[in-house]
Amino acid sequence: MTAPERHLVIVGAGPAGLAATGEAQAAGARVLLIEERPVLGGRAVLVPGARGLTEGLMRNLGSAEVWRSTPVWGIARRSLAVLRAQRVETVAAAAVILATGAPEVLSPFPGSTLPGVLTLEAAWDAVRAGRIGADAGPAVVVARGEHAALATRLAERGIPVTLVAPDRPNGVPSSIPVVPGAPAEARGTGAVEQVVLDDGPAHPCRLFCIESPRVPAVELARLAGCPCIYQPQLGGFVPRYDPTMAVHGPTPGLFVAGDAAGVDTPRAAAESGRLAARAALRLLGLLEEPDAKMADARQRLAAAAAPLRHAAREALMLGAMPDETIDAWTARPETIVCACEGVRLEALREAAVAGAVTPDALASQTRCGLGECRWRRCGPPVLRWLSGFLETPVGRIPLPTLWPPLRPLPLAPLVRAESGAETTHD
Amino acid sequence: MIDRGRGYEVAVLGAGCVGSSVAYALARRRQVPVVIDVGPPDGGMPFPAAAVVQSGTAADIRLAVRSAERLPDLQDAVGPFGYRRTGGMTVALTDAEAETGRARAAQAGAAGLPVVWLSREETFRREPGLSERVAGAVYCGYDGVADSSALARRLLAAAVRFGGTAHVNCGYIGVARQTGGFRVRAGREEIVARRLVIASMDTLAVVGRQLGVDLPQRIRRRRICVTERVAPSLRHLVNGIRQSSSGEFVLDPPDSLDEGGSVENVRDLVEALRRIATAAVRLVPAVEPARILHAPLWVSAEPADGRPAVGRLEDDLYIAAAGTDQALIHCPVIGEAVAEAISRNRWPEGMDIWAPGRFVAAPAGAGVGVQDSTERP
Repeated sequence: MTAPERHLVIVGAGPAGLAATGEAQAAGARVLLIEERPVLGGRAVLVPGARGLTEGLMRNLGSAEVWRSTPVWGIARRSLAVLRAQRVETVAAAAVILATGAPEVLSPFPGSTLPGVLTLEAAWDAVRAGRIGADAGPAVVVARGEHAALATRLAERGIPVTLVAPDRPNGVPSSIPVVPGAPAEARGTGAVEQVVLDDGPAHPCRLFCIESPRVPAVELARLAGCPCIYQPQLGGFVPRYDPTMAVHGPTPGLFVAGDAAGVDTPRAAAESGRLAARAALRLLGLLEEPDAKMADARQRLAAAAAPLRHAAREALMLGAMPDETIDAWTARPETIVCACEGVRLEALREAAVAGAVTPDALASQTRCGLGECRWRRCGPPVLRWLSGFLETPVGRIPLPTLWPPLRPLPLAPLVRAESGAETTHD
Repeated sequence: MIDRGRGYEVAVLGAGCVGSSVAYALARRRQVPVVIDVGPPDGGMPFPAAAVVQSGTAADIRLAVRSAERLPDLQDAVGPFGYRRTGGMTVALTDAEAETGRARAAQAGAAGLPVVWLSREETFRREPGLSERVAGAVYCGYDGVADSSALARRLLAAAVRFGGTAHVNCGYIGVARQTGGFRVRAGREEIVARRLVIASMDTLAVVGRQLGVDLPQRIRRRRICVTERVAPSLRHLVNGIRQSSSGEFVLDPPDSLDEGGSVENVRDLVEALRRIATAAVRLVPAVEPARILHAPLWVSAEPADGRPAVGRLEDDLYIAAAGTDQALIHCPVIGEAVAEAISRNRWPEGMDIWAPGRFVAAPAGAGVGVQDSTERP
């Protein structure tokens, strides 16, 4: 044991992870915050709306240790395997908070795997990184309400934009044409050149940005053995957790927070991070006046949450059953569902008719989900489609088996790592 | 009473490679089998698997060669399952390993088996992608790779085309003896069969208790690594390392056994992957730039000594079970043998080496099973 033991490791530096880190740091705990991306803030610094909140949380980090550009690829109990600066390392702590967020997942349609077809989040990422110039257009943006701000931003950069929305959202200038509809097809050779809406003509397009449902990233929690439950109100499968955000399962001291525990407002994400941090501190004996502080954190979470999502989360904490809705998502047979392996919906249907009626069996027969993204993009649509095909609720379909590494792991750092000599703190 | 369920000549429990192969061979002999599995037809991992002929005793190798000779025809008959006879090498890195390998090859050669020793130069000539440390290799031209999952599915589909029936994904299997045969509960279906073939150790663990039969088994847990697709550079199967035709490497060291129970600390996982990666890079430097996408822990049950168990347990009750690797390479011969035994009441030559009677302390005769001494790690 070369370094002092860490009290708390937090995975993910979105509003939840940042709030948890700040809270634990202020209480005098030794904290490590691990973020996969090079910048902190998560989705909140990409998509407008919660920048102020996030910047405030970042100022409270104090002297907490932060590892950026560090993907976590393995977990066992409260120890994590990471790839940091091309080195394989492991860290362990007395408590772990998983605040892995909820990325947007595109619902597949014909041509949706063409380069140039993006989720709103990915489009904002490209805008912030300066990868989108005036010549990137014309663009078609599918977004409602405040999310239509992307269309305005692209237009400000001199890109011709068409906004697809039921009506003109507030703040969108009249120079941007607004048409109703939904994405039906993207066409092009090598990249998107034209998009077709379900009831309209084709639009020339080189940048097709689509607001997509956000799905909690639960892979790390699942790999740690946490049971998950299907709650569409919270974005899909979420880990089961108790009123202190501690997950069910074999490992004590493991918490979940933020959108990974159910998609909600950025403020609610931050408050759930604070609640999880206080619960972890209480477990470690570092929380003064624990009962009052826990009650306070729960109250603040309730106040910050969207009402329906709050109700769903409360039900989940009390042990709600999985949602029983049969989802019948479908698309044209030639639609590529698994982008990594190029698996079309017709191939899935053929395999399912032949008896492959679980995600694992579909994977073994069609290679769906076995690519680099490991079900992250194709999982939600495949589960929803399988639900309709089998006439079984989504929540009753077994989730695909997960195994490490959760991120592609280069061999070279593994080979370099000397036997038993990784930096460890436990 | 007997007419309450649907009647079949033979019920095969287990739709893996072996069960599907037995069903296919029976169906071709017009013995109308029904194949029952709690899950989908599946022969193992969804990655190219090794069909290794060169391991085991001389008698094992002789049977494996017979299977390997049938696999190409089988592929023509039932549809593609990715079988490629790549040739396989067990590479020696040190002089001591070379000495052992040379002796093993000489012994196999003397027994008339297609296993030879390749000198360092010859090894490099055939497989230029190997590391310079190589001191030679035991080579068998019959070794290859195949998609075992596709093999099981293709065989089962072919069995159904010949008149067989498949009850897969049935969720539950229950078996009871009755006069003149067996009554099998498969999910909601009730099936009556004159003979029963238990075609996997997992199934034996369930129905063996109901029938009062058992064989000692062991659970094999092994970690394999599968990389992303990279440019093709490896032609042969080399110490469990293989490259699929689409370019992904499968790193599957034959000795990565018994990793133990649940992983308590992630360091154990890192150490397991480090060992596999180091061994692979030492042999095939071209693996190094690739990234690992999957490192599944594969768990399968097999007969306690790792060799297939094929034979008669009781009058109309047969066992045909093997571990995942063994099942892939041996399933053609096992399928034919069981079908032959059922339809003509005789076992083909050489099959007695796998008879379940070997697990009995005092053998009561070839092909008779036992009812105790289960070992479950």
